Amino acid sequence: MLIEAVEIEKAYRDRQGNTVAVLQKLSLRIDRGEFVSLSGPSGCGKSTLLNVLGCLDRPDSGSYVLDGQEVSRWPERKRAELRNSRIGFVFQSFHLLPFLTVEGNIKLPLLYSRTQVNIDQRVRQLLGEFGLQGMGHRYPGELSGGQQQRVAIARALVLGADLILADEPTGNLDSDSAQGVLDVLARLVEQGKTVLLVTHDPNIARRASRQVRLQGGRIESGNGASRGEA
Amino acid sequence: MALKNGKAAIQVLLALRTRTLLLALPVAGSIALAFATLAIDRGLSNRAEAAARSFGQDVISIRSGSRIIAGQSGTVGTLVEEDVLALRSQLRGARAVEGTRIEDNVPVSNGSRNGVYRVFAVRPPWAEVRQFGAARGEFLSDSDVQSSARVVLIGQTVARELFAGQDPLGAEITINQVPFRVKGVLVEKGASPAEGDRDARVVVPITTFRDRLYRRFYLDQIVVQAEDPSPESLAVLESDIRRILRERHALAVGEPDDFTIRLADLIAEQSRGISRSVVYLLLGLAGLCALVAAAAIGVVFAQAVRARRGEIGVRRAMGATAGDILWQIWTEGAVISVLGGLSGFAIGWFAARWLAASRNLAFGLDSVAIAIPVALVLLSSLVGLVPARLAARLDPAVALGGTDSR
Repeated sequence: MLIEAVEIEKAYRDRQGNTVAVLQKLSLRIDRGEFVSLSGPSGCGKSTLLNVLGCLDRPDSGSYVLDGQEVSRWPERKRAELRNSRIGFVFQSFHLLPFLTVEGNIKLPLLYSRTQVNIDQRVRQLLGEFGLQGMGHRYPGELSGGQQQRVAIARALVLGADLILADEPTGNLDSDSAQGVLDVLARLVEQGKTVLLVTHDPNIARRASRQVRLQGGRIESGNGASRGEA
Repeated sequence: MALKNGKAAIQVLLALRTRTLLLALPVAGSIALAFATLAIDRGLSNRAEAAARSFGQDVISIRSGSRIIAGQSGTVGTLVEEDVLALRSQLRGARAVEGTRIEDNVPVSNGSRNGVYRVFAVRPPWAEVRQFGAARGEFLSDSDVQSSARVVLIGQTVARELFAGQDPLGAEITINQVPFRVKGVLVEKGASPAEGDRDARVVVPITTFRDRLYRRFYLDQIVVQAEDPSPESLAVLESDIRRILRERHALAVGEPDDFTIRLADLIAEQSRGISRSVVYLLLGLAGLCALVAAAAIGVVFAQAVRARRGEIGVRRAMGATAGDILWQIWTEGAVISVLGGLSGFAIGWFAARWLAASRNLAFGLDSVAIAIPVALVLLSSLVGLVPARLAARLDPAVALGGTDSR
């Protein structure tokens, strides 16, 4: 078991000061090497759940065990190290830094890594693996959307992350590019990585080995363990 | 932490070169203005102190005014030998009182070599009062004065220009076509802002000047050497001099002095060339400029934090802590301040040097000239902490837009 989230609750205050519950006693288990899709209507809590699982946000209550360790109460520095070394993020709008080259973007996580290693060979390998040969010195603005997203996936993997959290990674891509990115994610799963893919699109969700559907902050269907099943 | 975040900051600054340059410019301007002003001020202060020292801290100078005499053409001075005698007899606290006659641009020749110099007509005690004795040969004697002897002491510049390495002692030169024997060479004094090249002068007996050169009876200057050079004593002496001379010149109450009394500190202030108030005004402008520069950095960075939420969110997702973000954003502001500061120092240095050379000002450095610009750089660096804290406090999930889609 890689991820074990139990009875996670998360609420926000809206602009009027009202408390809005986003995640309600949500429980979810994901095994190592699984390809899980997470779908549901807007505002159902998909991104919030992704942020909690990615240690970018803390749950108000409940526990989040990652690879056997309860990480939701860890201090910020330790959670930052965890994000840096084990979790790879892929975003809908790529979030590449426009002033860095492709290589610079891929190497960005190294800037915050405690172990400073020479990753040039790893970067070359990733460029080759994702069809980005010869583009290392280009800037993101010179690439197509699909290429940019592949750079973002390479950035997520450069330090050897074993959990990939992809938030609508194909949302800004044409269908060919989207298929290319999904192929990449599927290949990562074959290599033993765990991928959690947030998507609105049922066709894309079907590419995953398990489809989880969220509704109103709870898991509505799929193979995930909802409140009653946990 | 500082190294990695410094690297991130440099990457951003290089990518946003135009913004970096535009923000560094006002910092550079304020530092250049502050540094140049302080360096010029220090140079002028040094020069003023040197001028005061060279004139003599214990010496009060009384300059003659001018008046028109009915039936005579031109003007005559208001100081006469009787004033000197009155001051000598009535003034308490004066070590010496000496009158001098001065004529500028007097032609002096040694054969085919000639030049124009300032002629000082004095008595022997003048050498001690002004510390302007003979470096070689002898100074004037009482008998020279009594006999209106045609003897002269020449300054170092005169010796160099008229004798070109030859020994001037005993040689005959002409002053305004009157032959004089060189009795000595004056000590070297160098240039003074108040008096110009003080080595470009010749000194003759006061009687010889009157009897053989210009037939002038009035004095151009009286110098009074105080026994006690403290400011309080000099002030009392100045007041007594004014009272004695006004009585002697029969000046009515409310009538202005027909002479000018100058103390060493006044001579110093006059020789500065720029008044203190101008220096303060320039420093105020530099301070204002620095505040504007700091505010610009603060405002631009605060706006940049809003515009760079995505970047901040990504960095946090990649493993940056809030501290990393704070260090990076602050370093960006600090690097701009330091870059601007260093450029400002360089610009200010050259500007001050150029002004000193071309506008008859002076250049000098002291700890204040360095410390004030450094303080201004620190101020603008510290302002960057405000937007840096804003950036560090940004919730990474919010920065990535996570709450919008939930």
